[in-house]
Amino acid sequence: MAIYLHEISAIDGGGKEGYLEALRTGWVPYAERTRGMRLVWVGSTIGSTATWPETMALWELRDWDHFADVCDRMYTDHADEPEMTAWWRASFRFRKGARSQVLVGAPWSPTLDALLASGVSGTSYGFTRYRVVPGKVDAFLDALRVRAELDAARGRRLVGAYEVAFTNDAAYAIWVHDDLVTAGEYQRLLPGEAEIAAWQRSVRDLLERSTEWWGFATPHCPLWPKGYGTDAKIW
Amino acid sequence: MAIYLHELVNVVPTRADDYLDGIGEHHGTQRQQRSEAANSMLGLWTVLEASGTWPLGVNLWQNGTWQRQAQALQSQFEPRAQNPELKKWWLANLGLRSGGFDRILESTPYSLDVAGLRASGVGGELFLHQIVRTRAGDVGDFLDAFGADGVAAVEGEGAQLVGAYRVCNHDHEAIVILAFRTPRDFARFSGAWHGGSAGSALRRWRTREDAWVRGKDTLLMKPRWFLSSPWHP
Repeated sequence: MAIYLHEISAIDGGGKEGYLEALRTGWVPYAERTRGMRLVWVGSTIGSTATWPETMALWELRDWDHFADVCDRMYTDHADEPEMTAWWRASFRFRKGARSQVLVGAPWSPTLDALLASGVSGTSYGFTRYRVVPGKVDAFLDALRVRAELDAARGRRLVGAYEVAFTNDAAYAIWVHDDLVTAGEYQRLLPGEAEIAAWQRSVRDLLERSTEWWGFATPHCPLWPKGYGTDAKIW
Repeated sequence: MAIYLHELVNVVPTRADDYLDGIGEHHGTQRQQRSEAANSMLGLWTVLEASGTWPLGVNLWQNGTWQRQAQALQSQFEPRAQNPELKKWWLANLGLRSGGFDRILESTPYSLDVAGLRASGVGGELFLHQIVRTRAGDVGDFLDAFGADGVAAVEGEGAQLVGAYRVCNHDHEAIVILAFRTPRDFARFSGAWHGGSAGSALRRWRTREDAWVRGKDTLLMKPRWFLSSPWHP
């Protein structure tokens, strides 16, 4: 069972470009080399849909033993790991703080390897938080599998479906669109989609509400479209 | 039941330890002058950037009685009882924290106090801190059931109970803190909570608590000081 660490950093002023670059050149290769953490996604929150300015990162860990080891070696002010400490302290040139959540992949949710093998990619992503009737998370995730099939037929593919760890009322999913235009087109068509409306009715006893905000990947995100080369920075 | 002051403190990035040491020194020094330092500090923790808001410090002080808790509040607010040393510390350390949110807690009968925790050898490298939300008025039933069934279930999978508390003034909140001696113990507990066999005691408890629990906010923490500090011998 893969475990995911989802971090949202609050950016200080115009520091997003600098922070994403510091991640790319510093923490991402260091975390992969020293801890075996695998970056699944990195990019910006799209401010027109959510809090701004923010960046988000999603890491994949093998299992709970791996997660516990990562926690044990996480930054604290008295951590005895000079390279990590130096990077962490320097990151506050760009960011003010963070909020994070631990996600447990649903048994049918694809891993990073599976996503890469099946060619899942895009620039534009939906991050959906589901407030579930307490105790019904497993049942809701089963139902979400059906929704993923419906959405895939409409150009929106699933990156992952998760239980939010140590809660009894929260699930999470990440979706990918090819680009912002197709993300908008999906939203435009949604109100008239009878199958989606039927699905929504089918989860009425499981789901209290959902909220989605959008993210835009950076060009060094593992799920960035192959062949879309650019030197542009996301600011 | 014993009364505790629980604080979530928005520490300034990279200054969490400075803040925790600073408040620990101030608190312990003040209490030592009244011979009250022993058993007055349950824990000072730094939150990991894994769950919840970060950076964040968590303080848990054992005040024991409502009378002692009232005295602590008087030392800040009551014009004729203000403690000038507290004011000096408070104003001198604004560079270490930007704000916070505090709660007054009442212990459950089955939660050990500082002396009891120390005598029982409770402690660890990682701590799980949960604010548990119930329907209004259901907190007592949840805490009773946790004491009857939940504690044994979590301790059977590698956790140690630090304490389970009713949040005063909030009719829908409890706080539960668990300690894990090693990261491996935390991994064992987490795996059992999320993936253990359906018939295990922990899974049975997880299903049972859904009768009361309407949501949880979780923090993972490392102790800066737990049960004692250089200023709380």
